[in-house]
Formats: sequence, structure tokens, C-alpha cells
Amino acid sequence: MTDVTLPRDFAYARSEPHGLAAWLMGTDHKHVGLQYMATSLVFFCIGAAIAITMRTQTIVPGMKLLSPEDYNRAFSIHGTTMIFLFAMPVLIGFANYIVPLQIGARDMAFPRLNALSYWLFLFGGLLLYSGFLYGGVLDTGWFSYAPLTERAFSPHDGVSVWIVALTMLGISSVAGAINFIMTMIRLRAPGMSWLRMPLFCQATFVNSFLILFAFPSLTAALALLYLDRFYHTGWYNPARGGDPIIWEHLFWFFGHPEVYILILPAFGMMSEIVPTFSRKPLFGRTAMIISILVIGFLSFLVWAHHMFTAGLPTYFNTFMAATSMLIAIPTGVKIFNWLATMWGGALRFKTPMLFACGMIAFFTIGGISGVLQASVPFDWQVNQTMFIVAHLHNVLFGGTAFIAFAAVYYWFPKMTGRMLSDRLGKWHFWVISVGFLMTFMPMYGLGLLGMPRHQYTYAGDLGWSTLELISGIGAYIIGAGIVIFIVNIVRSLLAGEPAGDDPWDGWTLEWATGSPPPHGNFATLPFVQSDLPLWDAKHPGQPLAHIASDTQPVNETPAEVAALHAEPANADHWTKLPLLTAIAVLVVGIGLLTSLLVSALGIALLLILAGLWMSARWTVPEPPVMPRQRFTALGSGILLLIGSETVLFGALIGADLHLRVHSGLTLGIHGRLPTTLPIVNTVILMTSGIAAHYALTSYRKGRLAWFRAYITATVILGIAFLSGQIWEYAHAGFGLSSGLTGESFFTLPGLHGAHVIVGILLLVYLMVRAAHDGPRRPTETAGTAGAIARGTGTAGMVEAAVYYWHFVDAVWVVIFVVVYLL
Amino acid sequence: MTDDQQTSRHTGRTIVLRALFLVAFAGGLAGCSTQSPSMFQTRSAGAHDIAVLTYTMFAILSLVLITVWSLLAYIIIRFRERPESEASHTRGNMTIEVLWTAIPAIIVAVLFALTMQTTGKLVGGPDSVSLTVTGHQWWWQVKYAGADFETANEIHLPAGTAITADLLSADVIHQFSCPQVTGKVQMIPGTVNHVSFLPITAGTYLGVCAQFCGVQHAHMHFLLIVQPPAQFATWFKNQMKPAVSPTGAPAIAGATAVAGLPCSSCHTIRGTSLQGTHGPDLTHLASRTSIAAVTLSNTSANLRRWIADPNAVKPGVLMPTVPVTPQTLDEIVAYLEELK
Repeated sequence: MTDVTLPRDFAYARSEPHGLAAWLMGTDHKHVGLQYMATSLVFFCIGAAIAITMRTQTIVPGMKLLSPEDYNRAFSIHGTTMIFLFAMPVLIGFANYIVPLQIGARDMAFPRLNALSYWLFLFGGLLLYSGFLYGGVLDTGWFSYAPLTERAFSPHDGVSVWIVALTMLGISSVAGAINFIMTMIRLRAPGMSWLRMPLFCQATFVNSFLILFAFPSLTAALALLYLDRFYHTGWYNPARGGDPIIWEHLFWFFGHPEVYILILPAFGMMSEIVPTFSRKPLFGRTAMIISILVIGFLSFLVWAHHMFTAGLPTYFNTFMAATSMLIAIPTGVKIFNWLATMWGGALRFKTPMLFACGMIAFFTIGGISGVLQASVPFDWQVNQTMFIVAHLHNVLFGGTAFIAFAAVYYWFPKMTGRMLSDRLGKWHFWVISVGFLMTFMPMYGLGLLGMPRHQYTYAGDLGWSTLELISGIGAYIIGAGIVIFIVNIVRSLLAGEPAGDDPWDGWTLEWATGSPPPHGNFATLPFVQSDLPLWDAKHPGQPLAHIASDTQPVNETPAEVAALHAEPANADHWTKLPLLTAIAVLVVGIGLLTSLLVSALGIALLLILAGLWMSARWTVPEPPVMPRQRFTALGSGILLLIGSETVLFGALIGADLHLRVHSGLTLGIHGRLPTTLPIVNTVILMTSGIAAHYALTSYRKGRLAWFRAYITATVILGIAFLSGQIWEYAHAGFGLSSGLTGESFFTLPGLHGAHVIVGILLLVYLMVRAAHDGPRRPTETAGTAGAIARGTGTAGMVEAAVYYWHFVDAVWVVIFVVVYLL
Repeated sequence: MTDDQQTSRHTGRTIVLRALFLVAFAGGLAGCSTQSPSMFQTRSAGAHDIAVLTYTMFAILSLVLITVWSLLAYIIIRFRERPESEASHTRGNMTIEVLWTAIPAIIVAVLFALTMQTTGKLVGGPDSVSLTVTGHQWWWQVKYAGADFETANEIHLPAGTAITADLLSADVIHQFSCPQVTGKVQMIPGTVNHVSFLPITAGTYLGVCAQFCGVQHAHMHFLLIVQPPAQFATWFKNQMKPAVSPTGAPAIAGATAVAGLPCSSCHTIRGTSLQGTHGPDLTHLASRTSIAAVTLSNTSANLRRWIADPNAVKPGVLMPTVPVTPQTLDEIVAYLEELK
């Protein structure tokens, strides 16, 4: 690590801050987890209040509680809030708190990034709601089909605010996903092999890949909509060569994995809760892990079942119907395995178990309605009716929300040291179950009776009134259940029964430490020899039957393991940087809605903060000796980011090609663009890639002078490339809003150019840092293998920056072909 | 698809499945009335096929649901913790796990096969297009092939003839939905989608827009009126005629009024000077049973209410309020009521 000297107290705090300062500066995963959970609970209550208002508006025909404009805003904000500001963050919050504990780690792999993810979430949510102050509230639905969202049909700012807010939330989520993946790859306690990781961690791991590959599609869809609204492009506007169906494809390619993102961690939680309260280990553990992988994989192949009525070819609909039905099989396997876990157990019906059983009963209905909807002809009848609304709430409320409730009752004692009242918990369960059934089961009937969704009112002679009335009353009962829940939380925080370390007699590692755990989590770590380390600790000599691949030998002795887990004395847990960085991102976002000068200011702030972030002395609370790793932590993290960015570019290129094929437009050598300069530029960029490669190999061999030379060469070539691009743009003779040619030409190379700029900045930073490093750290330079193994400091940054640069080169090759040769 | 097998006479199997289905949904369908555009009140061959598929799939999947619920109930009662309880440590069982993967796979395969079978019956239809329906915010524009008249919000069709309709949109994505007669199809601007169906039974069926399309999406309905062929022919011939000339002083004054007011910038009344294309064609307005996309029934009072202040009926509607004196309003309504 470098010895850059910063004003001591600027970004970091050595002694523990208190009160508001602690809330604002904490990076401990438990702190960030609690932030996520508390904030998502507040958004849940707001979303529920909106829902109850909506249900009141439709409780009888012709109600005039909400104007149509307000009703449309209500369902749009309700959906966006519940999905992005409640369900995702609450699951991420639990994962933040519990995953490091369950794998025996001290914290997440990138604690500062973790805190940044939280602040981006909070500010994204606040930005979305700020729209209420000035009439900029989304009113086109949570999936907002184009061209309704174009300026011509939605002139107010609601859609624009939504675009920026969701983009912030997307960055937050992708950063979190990279963090979780790296944490589970690198920070598992010795003896904890992949398959011994608890199911909640497995689910979070797979889920993180879904986030990584699904969100870029949303970002692409939003980016194109932003360009249409602010720069008069015509991506979704048929009058300008665009096609609304691109939105549907891009959005649902994200949207379907998104709903699995909302349920997979919850499935993982079920696999923790059901065994604990059955006093019996999870049945079919290997199948449960495989089913998570299959669901995760298939979730990317089903998106067009949201588009069965869009007039796509029959073979395509057929394929999507098949995959959509197939995905029911691993889901069903999970339900059966939970039932089999309970079979032969000694069931304890504490509140978490009540919600778990409720989930099995209710989610199965939703799963079945899902299989029905996968049948194309049936979907042709119920698409966009209340049947779909019933299904989605069935699985999200009866599934995700019920499990979230169970998880709160289960892990609240660990997080606060106090028990929630089981008596109030039972009231909560029964009241909300009745409310859930009353509210959502009638909606199935309404859909079958032909009632479409998104109706602010309806006629009284259509046979829908009785079911709407029942549903409306049910919503109030749900509200009552939520009130009981909140009361329970508040009372327990103030005066709940003390919980102790292990109130449920659990078998996973989080129960092997205090409630709440201290910084660093474990004073001594139990020796991990199976997937249920606490069972082994509590029943020495009576190990459970090992599952087939559970024969990982452990190399360290228990004493060595304990020594490993002494937290470094100078571990850092507090910094202002994540909060400030999130504010800078918010400034950039606000600038995108108002004036680009504001965005420029935000970017300047980001650059300063990035410099501080990368230069400052930050001691991660990790053990000093890491398992053998091929890439550094930063290098691996960048590889994951590259995976995500690949989908982003792929989505944009796909959209572009769709329109060009549609309209028969050729650019490049067959069209209007001169190609000499681009070819020269391509050669320049490829050469810079070669230089970057040798920079990395030089660094790894400790040849710092060569390293500096190659990096300089890379930067110079990169700047030459950029200059060529800028010259080309200035002399193009057409603009972004000149139709499809302008769109293709400026969007794809433009986004690529932005990546080049970031890459150059990273490399320049490396040049400066390497110059600073060189003469002062002989051990670091000679033993770069060690530095690489630690994955920290300059070694990690070099790897990250070079991989990023290679990615930029590779994308350019594709863009060059698409824009200039096709 | 006009063979007698596909009429509304149900086979024995369908009756049993339907009975089971209704028992299960007894509570849910308590509000059922013959006025609901229910996918089970089938009035075409295609809708009937979809309904039968639904009953079958529902029957199969109900068994799955009942199995899960029964197991859960049994487990909750039988394995509740008691002082003498001792939980087993079984972690898996290959046979059972294979079975509960294979059986759902078989069920899925069966459902998929049934789905493909029904889909096969539904795709395809006449190649020639009889009808073009264009979705607007928030009304339906209807044109018939080989005829130069247009109508709005009411689609008349002869019973017993298969038709194919082109579906377009003038602005945003709408969705053509009339569950008693056909599955839904999106109307995407810049694209032409098609729907084919064979209406069998005469009657009036409610259609809705089933894709959120803006502030008055909830009031964008249409009526599908299936008529015996002879009646349809009569209607068709009448629609082809230009507008009736006004008789009686109020109507004549009304005709003059509309010609001078901004009405002409949006509406067409064939045979007069009104040639606007942004709003519904009014040539035979009085032959329709409803106005404002089936929001109001077509009466004098409602016409008056609608024209005086469209925004009060459908807030956000694109039809502006044209200020007229009450007397002029009466005259306009009198004229419009003559446009049969």
C-alpha cells in the first residue's frame, strides 16, 4: 500500500464516530445492511400507503378519490417503489448483514463500495420522490412502454426523473453484485468450500450474476429513451425510423431476470429458516443449489413471455413458452425439498416458520398461475388484465414479502440483540395472510372476467364490482397487518426480550458470535468442516451425513485458523468518501435533467473523489493471508464489471442493428461515412492495447521503468485515438438528431469514447502513482507476486486498468464493424 | 373453422372440466354477469379453444396445488414438535428427488403439448384483410376493406365468417382485446399486426384497450357487434351512404353550426364540408349505441354533456371544449341525432 499522505481527518475517522456522523460514515457491512433494511422498510410503508389509496379509488365504480392523472402516477410509483426501493434493497440489506457472517468473513470485499451502493440507492429513491415537489412524477407505469414515454406523449418531467433515478439504482445494484461475488470468492473462512456455503449465500451469489447481466439492458433502454427525450433522437419513434418494440425487448430482457432477482435470495432465506425450525438439515441440498443455478440461467431465456401479444413470430413465442414452463420445474423442486425438510422433523411454529409455511401455501398458487400464463393462448386472453396483477403480487407478496417478514423475525435478534414478540408476530402473520388472500385472489377472477389493469375506474354493470370491493377491503387488512409489524419492531427495539447469541439453536456461522456482532465479527472462528459448522461444534463426534462432494480437506489447524481471524488492529470502518461520491453522482444526475454544466461540475467532483479514494490509506478488515488467487481483487472486480458492460454494449448494438435491418440503412463503406480515419484510429487503439499488455507484464516482473514507459505509450496512443474521434465528430456533417445515421454514429462510438476517456484517466492516475511508488517500496516492486496476492494497492489497480483497457479495445473492434463496415 | 363441432354445444368432457373449474372459482365468479367480457363466455371458435385449454390446464395444475397443500397440512399436523419428537437427519433420497423432478417435467411437457396444439388451431386465418382497426388516444378507428366509409368505437361483423383484421396505432401502443371472441394483440405504431377470428354467435361484446396508453386508458372501450349476415349487410350498406341531410329547423341550424365551428378540424361527416381526420368519423353517429369510446350511451342528454365539456367526462381527453351557447348546443345535438 502506498504512503500518500492526506490530511488525516479529511476522509477517514480513526476513533469511532457517534450519532449522525456514524450513520453517514459507516462502512461495516452490518451498518450498511441495517441502512438498507431500515430505508427499504420506510419505502415499503410508502408503497403500501399508495396501494391502499389505489384500492380505495377502485373499491366502487365511479369513485372520485383520485383523478386519472393521480391514479396513473400512483400505480407507476407504487410499482417502482416496491420493486426497486423495497424488495431489492431489503434482500440486499439482509445479504449485506448475513453473508459475511455466514462465510466467516470480517466484512465485504470492498467495504467503501458497499457503502456507496447504499447511498446511491437512497439518493436514487429520494430523487424519484422529489418529483412530487414539482410535478415530475412518473405516470406511465413501472415498465413504461415507449412511445408513451416520449416527450410528445409525456411532456412533463416524470419520465426523465425516473430515468435518472433508475440509472442510479442500477449503478448501486451492479456495484453491490460485484461486491458480493468477490466477497464470496475471496473471503470464505478456511474449510468453507463452495458447496459448504449456506444456501442463502449460494442464492445471493447466483443472484449477483443475474444483477450483473440484467441491469445493463435496463440501462441501455433508459439511455436510449433519455436520448429520445433530450436530444430528439428517434430510437423508439417510428416516425423517425425507430421501433417501440426495442423498448419491450430491452426492458423485459432486464425485467424478467429482475423478478428472479427479487425471489432467489428469498429462496435462499427459506433454505435457512425451514431447517432451523424443523430441527432438521435441508433436504436435497445439492439439488437445491443446482435448481438455483438452473433458475438463474433460464431466467434470461424467458423474457418474451411478456410480449406474447406483440405479434412476434410463432416459433419465437413457442420457444419462450417452453422455457417459461421449464423454469417451473426447478422451482417446484425447491417447494418439494422444503416440504421434505419439514417431513420427519420436529416443527417449531415460531413466527419465522409461520411465514415460511404461508409462503409455501401462497407462493405455489402464484407459481401455478405463472405456468398458466406461460401458455401462449391463455396469455392472449389474460395479458394486461388483473390476472397478471394477481400473479405478480401473489409471487412478490406471498413469496418475497412473506419471506422478508420471516427473515426479519429470524435475524432481528442477531442484529439487535432483542427478540421480536412472537405473540404480535402471530397476529401479524394471520392478519396479513387474510388481507393478502382477500386483496389478491379476487384479482384472478377479475382478470378472467376481462378486467384490464391500470384502470382508474370502471363501469358498474360489468360484473367487476363485487370482486373489487372484496379486494379493496383486503387492502385495509394488509395495512392493519403492517401496523402490527411496525409496532412489534418499535416495541422490541425499545424493550424486547434479550436474545443472546443463538436464540434459535442455529447451525450456521452467524449464530457463533455476539448479537449484534462486533466489528470484525469473530473473535475466534469455529473450524469449518461441513456445511453446518455449528452443528459440528454443538455435536462433536456426531457429524451429519456429508453430502457427496463435501470432502474438502482443511489445510490449517484450528489454532492457525483462529490466529488468521484476529482483525488487523488498524482496520478502517469509517469514511466520508462513499457519501460524498454518491452526492457527486446525484449532482451529475440532476445535471442530466437540467443543465449539462451541472453534470460537468458533478463529474469534476467525481474525479477528485476518485483520486482521493484510490490514493488514501485504507486498511480493509481482511485477514493478512489470502487463499491463492489468479487475479487480484480489483482485477477480478473489473472483470465482472466488464461482463456487465458487455451486456450494455450488446444491448445498444442490438437495438441499433434491429433498426438498421428494419430500415435497410447502411453506414460505413457502403453509406455515408468516410473510413480512412477510422481505420487509422483502429490501428492506433490496437497498438495501445499491445502497449497496455506489456505494461502489465512488466509490472508483474518488477520492471518498473518499462512499466512506466509502456503506460505512457498507452496513454499517448489513447489520446491520439480520442483526438481522431473528436475530429471525426466535428466533421461528420450531421448530428445526433439527424435520424438513424446520426443516432448510430454518435451513440455507439460516443459511449465507447466515454469509456476511452475513463480508461485514459485511470492510466494517467497509474502513471502518477507508479512514479510516486517506485523508489520508495523496493519490497513491493520485487515481490509483486505478494502484492498481487494481496490484491491491494497499485498491483490491483494496474491489473484493473489494463483489463479495462483491453475491454475498451475489444468493444471498439465490434463497434467499428457495426458502424463502419456494415 | 365453421364446422358444427366448434359451436357452443359443449362436449361432455368440457362440461365436467367447466363444472370443476366453476366450483373452484365459485366465490371468485360470484360477481359474474353476462355483461362481463369474460374469456369463458365464448362466442367464437378460437375463444372456445382457449377456454377448453384453460379448463384442462387448470384441472391438471389444481392437482399439483392440492398435492402441495395436502402435504403441507399433513406435515404441519403430524410433525409438530412434541416432547418425544426426534427429528431425523435424512439429507436426501435419490428416488424421491428424481420422481419429483420427473413428474413435474412430464406435467410441463403435457401442458406444453396442449399449448402447442391450441396455438396451432389459432394461428392462421384468411389471408385477405377485411378490417383495419387503428388505435388512437383514446378511441378506435375502424375501416372496412373495399369500402370508403369509416366508423369509430363500434365494429360490426357478420356471424359465421372468419375475418382477419389489420391492427395499427396512430400514436402509442394500444392493445385490441375482446376476450369473448379473440385473444389480444398489441397495436404498435410503425408496425402492422394482425388478428384473425371467427365470430359465431350474434350479440354485442365489449372490447377494451389492454395496454396502458395514457390518462384515459380506462375509457377506451369498443363494442364488437356480431350480426346475422343479412342484418350486417343492411348495416354495411347504410354506412356506405353519405350523411343524411338535416330536416327540421334545429337540425339545419345545427348543421350550419358544426360547419363553422372547430369541429371540422377533427371530424368528418361525409357529404358535408367536415373532412377532419384527428377524431372519430361522425357520418352515422346516430346509428351507434354509445359515444366517447363506450363511456356514455348515445342519448341526447349524454351528447349534450359530452360536447359541452368533454374534459368533465374524460379528464385529459384530446377533444377540446368548444364554447357554444345552450341553444346552439341543442341545435348541434338535434343534427347529430339525425345522422343515422
